[in-house]
Amino acid sequence: MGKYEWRLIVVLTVICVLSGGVLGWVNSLTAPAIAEQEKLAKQRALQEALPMATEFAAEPAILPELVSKDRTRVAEVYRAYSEDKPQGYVVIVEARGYAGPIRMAVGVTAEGNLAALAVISQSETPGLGAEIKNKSFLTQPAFRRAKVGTELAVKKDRGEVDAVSSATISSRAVVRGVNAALTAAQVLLERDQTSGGDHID
Amino acid sequence: MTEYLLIVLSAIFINNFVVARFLGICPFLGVSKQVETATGMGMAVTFVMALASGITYWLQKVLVMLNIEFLQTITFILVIAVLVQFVEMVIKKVSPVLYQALGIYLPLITTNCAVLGVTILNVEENYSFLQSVVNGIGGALGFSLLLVLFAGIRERLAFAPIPKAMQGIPIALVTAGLISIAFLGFSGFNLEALLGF
Amino acid sequence: MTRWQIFKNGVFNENPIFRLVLGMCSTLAVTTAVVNGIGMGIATTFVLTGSNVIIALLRNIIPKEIRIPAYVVVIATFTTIVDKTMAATMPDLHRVLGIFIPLIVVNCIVLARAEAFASKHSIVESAFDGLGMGMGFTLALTLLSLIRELLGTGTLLKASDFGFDGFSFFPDALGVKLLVLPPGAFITLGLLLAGINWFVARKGEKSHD
Repeated sequence: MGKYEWRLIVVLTVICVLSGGVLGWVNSLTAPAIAEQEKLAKQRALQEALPMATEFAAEPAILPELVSKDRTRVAEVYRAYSEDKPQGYVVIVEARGYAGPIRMAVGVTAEGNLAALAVISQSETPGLGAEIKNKSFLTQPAFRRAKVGTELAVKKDRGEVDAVSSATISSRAVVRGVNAALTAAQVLLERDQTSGGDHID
Repeated sequence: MTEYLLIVLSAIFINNFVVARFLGICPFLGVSKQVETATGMGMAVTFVMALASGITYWLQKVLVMLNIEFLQTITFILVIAVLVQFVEMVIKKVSPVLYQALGIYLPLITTNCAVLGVTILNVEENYSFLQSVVNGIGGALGFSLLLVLFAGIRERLAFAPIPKAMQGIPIALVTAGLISIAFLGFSGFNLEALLGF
Repeated sequence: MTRWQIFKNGVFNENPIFRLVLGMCSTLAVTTAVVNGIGMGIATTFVLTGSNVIIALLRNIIPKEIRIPAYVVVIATFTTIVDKTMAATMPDLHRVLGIFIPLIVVNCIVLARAEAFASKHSIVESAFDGLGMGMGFTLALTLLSLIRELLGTGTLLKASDFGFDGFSFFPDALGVKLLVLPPGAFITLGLLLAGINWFVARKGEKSHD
């Protein structure tokens, strides 16, 4: 190779290395902040999903049979306590909405009733699908009455849940997520009852 | 099998790359004046998107392994650029006929955001290798379908009496909007139920 | 051209969206709300200005044959900086803009300005060109998202990152939902471009008289 060709390679390599270095530096500055933001958002959602609990402990065993079904994923399961008394579970689920995954926390009390829902992140269309974040949708009677064993559906699919207007896909995704969370909670409840306590491991 | 069918159908009809996700708009507006060129572009894009989806799947694995995911954008775009060059060279050597048909479109593909877009979407959706490739092909088929459909309409628009201010891009955008409305109809489909999920 | 003229050229005469019709993907995708439009505009302005400056700085060092890959690396670097910074400071906005932030790298405006302007002009001129083009882009996004958010949802400037619910002009139920859906993006931009064409043509006629 001639001198000129070497120059091409050297210049391009130097540019790549420099940019890699700059990005590594930027990453080291932003990564902790990004992780912190995510942690905060999750903590807020856990609290919102099960207001009576004060502490949340991650359940290590995510039930393999529920992990991914029907474009809905059980991502994490938390046991909730207040003053060491078990208060129920918070299940974090991800369901495919219209524009992307909708990640939310579903609180289930120790009696198996749905406590509350909290959307952690979503990327649905503002003014349409994004309205699933609204209290008026998330606290409607159909959700408040739900408990383990019930299978929810939106009104269009002959269920009871009032979908957000013109956003059936996003509403369906939330319902799928709630159903997945209720099933997960049911498995945990049954497991805890047969083992006779709240600590099985 | 149904799982892959679901990915393809949803990439073509429900989340069509062009009219629902807004990926690949520049070539959509630029290379859609004739059906013949639109077909050529569609084929070239399908080829590159399938390849890029497969390669970036492994590339992402490497990035995660080395803990340098922050280099995702830069490595993906470089890989796509190199890939397009490479595909161009191979096609030129192997099939001069195919090169004549696709050659002029290949350089344009690097900056087609549908290609980089699909590779990032695959990572975000946590797709497996096969799912990624299928998503790449599905997305490209959706892009090609729209490109050819649109070219068919624009061939006729060329002879229509259009107000001066609306000529060219404005009327093309409004037409794309009307096609988009038609595709909105598909989003009401409950594909899972349809395919027996 | 003076620096001010370079800046003004990007905003008006060669507005990247209304006059050059470049960077359509992000334009159509993110203009569902004014905050998203402005966020995307500022992110793109940063990348445009940053890459223009660096490319102008390196314009005599980068050999012609490898200029495109070199430009792409520089642009991708600035894009990643914006991506990470937004994720750390404005997570909600970052999520809504989604893949369109990394896709700034393939936004035709950025590469076009690197090739057509920054590779031939001084650092300061290139900075002004980047700022002007970025402002022009932001202005166009803001205008488009203003129409779509107001008529589509009845509110303006809803920004959850800053805990602001926006100004409500009329109830959500009366909004033209189609405008915030994908078809609304195409149709609104098409009509807006036609309106600008008509305006420019009329102005041109008048100045001929």
